[in-house]
This record gives sequence, C-alpha cells and structure tokens, in this order.
Amino acid sequence: MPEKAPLLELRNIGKRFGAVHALRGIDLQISSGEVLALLGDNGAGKSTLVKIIAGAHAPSSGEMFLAGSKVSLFDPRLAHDLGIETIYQDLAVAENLDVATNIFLGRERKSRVLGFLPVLARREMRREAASALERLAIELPLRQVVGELSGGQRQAVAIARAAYWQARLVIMDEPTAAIGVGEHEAILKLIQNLARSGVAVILVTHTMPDVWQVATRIVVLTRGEKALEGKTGELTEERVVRAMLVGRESDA
Amino acid sequence: MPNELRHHPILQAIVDQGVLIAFVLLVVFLAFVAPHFVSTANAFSILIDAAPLVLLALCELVVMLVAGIDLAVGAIAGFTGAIAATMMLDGFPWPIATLLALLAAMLAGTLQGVIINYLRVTDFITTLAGLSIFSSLTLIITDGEPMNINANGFNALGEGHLLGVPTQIWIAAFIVVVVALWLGLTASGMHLYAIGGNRVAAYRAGIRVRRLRSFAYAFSGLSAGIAGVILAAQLATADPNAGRGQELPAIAAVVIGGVSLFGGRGSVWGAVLGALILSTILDGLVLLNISPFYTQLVEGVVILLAVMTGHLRKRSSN
Ligand SMILES: Nc1ncnc2c1ncn2[C@@H]1O[C@H](COP(=O)(O)OP(=O)(O)OP(=O)(O)O)[C@@H](O)[C@H]1O
Ligand SMILES: [Mg+2]
Repeated sequence: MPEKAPLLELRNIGKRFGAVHALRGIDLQISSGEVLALLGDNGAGKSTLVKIIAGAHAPSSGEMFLAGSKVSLFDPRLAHDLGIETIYQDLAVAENLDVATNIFLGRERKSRVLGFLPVLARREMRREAASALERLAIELPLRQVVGELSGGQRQAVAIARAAYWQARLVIMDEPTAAIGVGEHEAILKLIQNLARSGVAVILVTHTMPDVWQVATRIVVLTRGEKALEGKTGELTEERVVRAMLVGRESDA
Repeated sequence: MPNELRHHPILQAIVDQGVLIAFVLLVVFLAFVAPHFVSTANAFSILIDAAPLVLLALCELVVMLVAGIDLAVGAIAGFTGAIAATMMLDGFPWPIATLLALLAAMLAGTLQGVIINYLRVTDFITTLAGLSIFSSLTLIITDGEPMNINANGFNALGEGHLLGVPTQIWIAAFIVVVVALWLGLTASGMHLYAIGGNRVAAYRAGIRVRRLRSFAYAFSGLSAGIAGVILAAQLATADPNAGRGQELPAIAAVVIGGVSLFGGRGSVWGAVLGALILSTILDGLVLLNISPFYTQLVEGVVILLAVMTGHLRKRSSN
C-alpha cells in the first residue's frame, strides 16, 4: 500500500511571545479518522499549538502541511476554508448575539432579495441550527442571547458551531471542562462519531479516563516541547503523567 | 429595587421602551406648557433641526457598535460644506461638487479608520486629531469667512420641499432606512454587532475585523458629509464654523438612545429617538423663552438621566 500523506503535518513548529518560548521544535502528524490526545501540564503550550493550527496565531518558525501541501499565511478564515474547525479553550463567543447567529457567525446563509441584494436568511439558519443541535443531542434555546447562557451551555454552542460544518479536522481545547455529566458523555460520543466518519480530531484535555476512552494516539507537551508520543494502547497513564511532570524520559 | 417590583410587567415595559416613553412624555409635556408647540410648522422645525443631528448620530451609532468613537464628525461635516462651496465657486456643477465633497468626507473617515485599525492608534486620539485637522482645513478653505452658495439645486437640498415635506427630512429619513436595513438584514451589519460583542470571537469566526471597523469609520465620514451638505444648503452658505461642536450632541443622542459605548449594543431606532429627544428639548426651550445659556445644562441632565435609566434597564433584564 502506498504511503498516504497525513492530513496534517507540523515540522519544527516554534512560537515565542517576546521572551517566552511557548513552543519549540514541535513535529506532529495526524491522519484522518484519528483522535489525537494532546496532553500537558498547565502552561505546557497546548492552547498555543491549537491556535497555530487554527490560524489564530502565526508560528514563529516551522512549517505546516495539509494533505501534503504546504500551508502558510494562516488566518482563521483560511483555516475554515481548509476544513479546520476549532473549539477554543476560552470559548470566545459574541455574548450579545443569539445561539443560532453564533453557530453561523462568519459563514451566514443568505438569500437574494430582488435577485441581487444578499440578505441574512435568519429563519433558515435557525432551522438548520435546531436540527444540528438535535443531531448532537444538545438542548439550547436558539433565540437566547449567548451572554445569558451558563458556561456549559456556551461550551455547547462552541461545540455545535464546530460540529455543524463538514470539517476534515476538528480541534477541541478542553471541550468538557465546564459541562455536566450527561453532556460530557455526549461529547465523547461525538468525538468517536466524528472519527468514525473520517474526521481527524485533536483533543486537549486534563481528564485521563477520556483519553483512554476515545483517543487513538497521545502526544505529551512539557514546557513547550514534545515529551512523549505513542499509541494509546501502548502507553500507561503512569508514563504519560510522568512525562507531563518531568519531560522526556531520557532527560529524567 | 426589590425583585418583585423590578419584574412587574408594567415597570418592565417602561424600562424596555424607556426612550420612546420619555419622548412621548416630553412631547405631551411641551404640548401643554409650550405655546404653539402643537403645529405642523413646529413639527417640521423640530425635524429640520433633527435631520443633520440624526445623520451625525448614525455616525456614532455605527462606530460605537464596533466599540469605537468618532469625535471628528462635526469637523468633517463643516469640511464637506466648505469643499462643496469652493468647488461650486470654481465653476463645478453642483451635483459634481456635492458628490466629490461627499467622496472627500468618506475618504476622511476611511483615513481615520485605517489609522485606528491598521496603525493601531486609539480611536479617541485619532478622531481628536481628526477634529483638529478638519476644523483647520475648513478655516483654510473658507479663509475664515462664510462662503455664499448660489447654486439653487444645491440649496434646495436644505431649503426645498418634496410633497410638502422639507428635503433634508427626506434625505435623513432615506439614510435612516438604508442604515436600518444594513444593520438589520445584512451579514456585514450583523458582523458590526459581533465585533462589538466579542472581537476575538469575531476574528476567529473569519470576520475581517480591521477591514469592517475601517468601513464603519468610512460610513461615519460619509454620513457626516451628508449632514454637512444639509447644513450648508440650509443657509446657502458654507460657514467656517458649521458643524463645530456637533460631535457632542451626536454622542449625547446615541447615549440617550441606549447605544453602548462599549460596543455591540444599540439600534438605529434608538439613535433616531435620541436625536429627536434632543431636538425637541431645544425647540421647547426656545418656545418657552428660556435663555440659550440653559441649553447645555438641560442636555447634560438629560444625558445623565438616560444613562442612569439605561443601567436600570440592564439590571432589570439580568
Ligand atoms: N498571547 C500570549 N502572550 C504571551 N504569552 C502567552 C500568550 N499565550 C500563551 N502564552 C504563554 O505561553 C505558554 C503556554 O501557554 P498555553 O496557553 O499554550 O498553555 P496550555 O498548555 O494551554 O495550558 P492550560 O492547560 O493551562 O490551558 C504559557 O507560559 C503562557 O503564559
Ligand atoms: Mg490551554
């Protein structure tokens, strides 16, 4: 069988914020249908890496390849166009707009009035949002302004937003941090369904049982460097936690 | 306020429609106390005063939705009138002079938008500088003297009538409708709210934040320019002081109308009502023979009242 290029490949990615070296020398590959758990202690650089892949931050060094072709000049719009959807840890949502509007923000459905004037198709978007939420088994008041929702409900908005679009890669930065038990299970199921349908998923989490439940591969970041990588079945929780705390095994 | 009271339906309605109710109360009050207040002539007189103010309030509405502010709207209005007047004096036909002057106004706004969003100078400083620069350019162009405008077509924009209604009221109403449709029905209009609501979320959603914010300032320049054309046409004169200080009532109008200075909250309806309230108060003061020295005092009190009831409104909705 010919070697297929991974969906996403990072080579030697580095990121500095002034004097802070948030990431260095990160090599990473992820293929379609995989669930990659990105683990690490607080401040290890997970969210920074997520933002680089999502186009929200530019890397300071290194290269990225999507389906074998080099991508540069990343911006969020381009990332969306390339099929990358992201749930950010800080869950930025437009608090003053309603749920349906947030789900479609930046990619609104429009209809043409008088044949040329593009006008928001609000009813259509609300209908679509309702059926998307139903598929995800998420219950949300569509017309409610997001600022009036609970933390968990906001998280559900962000998840619905990412899951709605036909993505090739879905990145979730601690998607279960603020939500209840029932929704927690629903999200894990969603991740498995996405992977089964051929989507690549990067999951950032601190919840170890989730990792062994859904992830196929694990990457551990420690102080901005990749400390450990392997298949879930071949790693033990003890080794992972150890790598998170002390770094690369040869260093320890 | 105790909870039960705060959620009482009648009180809730008063708080929700507070601006409209304040306007109605104001009109009823003046109808009783001010001689000649209730007449078509006086209604037109209020609306004529309101027309340029509404346009300037729309400037502030649009930039405030994206959490900005434009202190230069009055100066750009005066600048636009001066440019139109000189060009007509130089022999340009009035429609061309007017269009080019409006283009200059829009460029002025765009320039401010670009400086704020791409060169990252704060909006307050940029438009304060704009206020200085465009006021000075107006003085330079007019040589500090009022310039007569003889083009009848141009002056009709501020003196003429259409179907019995003064032309400038039509113009302002038309712009109001256009902006209401823009904000209410289009994606870019909704994106203004998204940017004001959460700039990071808007950026990550793929909205071109800097471009759209710059566009808001371009619109502000254009709308200020239209106000400037009306001001010049009303007097058939480009006055070197036209528009001077008008940014303050414009900001007052949107604040009264419930537009948030922090972005993401406000409506065309509110901005228009705010401008109408201010114009009606000014009219009432004149009819009641109250010295103009009191005008700004009354305006100041009204702004404070509006902001305080606005807080009440926010608290009761939480
Ligand atoms: N915008 C920024 N400016 C400056 N420093 C930053 C910025 N974003 C992140 N950092 C720094 O980069 C490092 C990595 O942060 P990051 O948010 O990626 O950690 P994380 O692994 O996601 O942590 P957590 O588990 O707490 O979410 C930290 O030292 C952080 O202070
Ligand atoms: Mg993080």
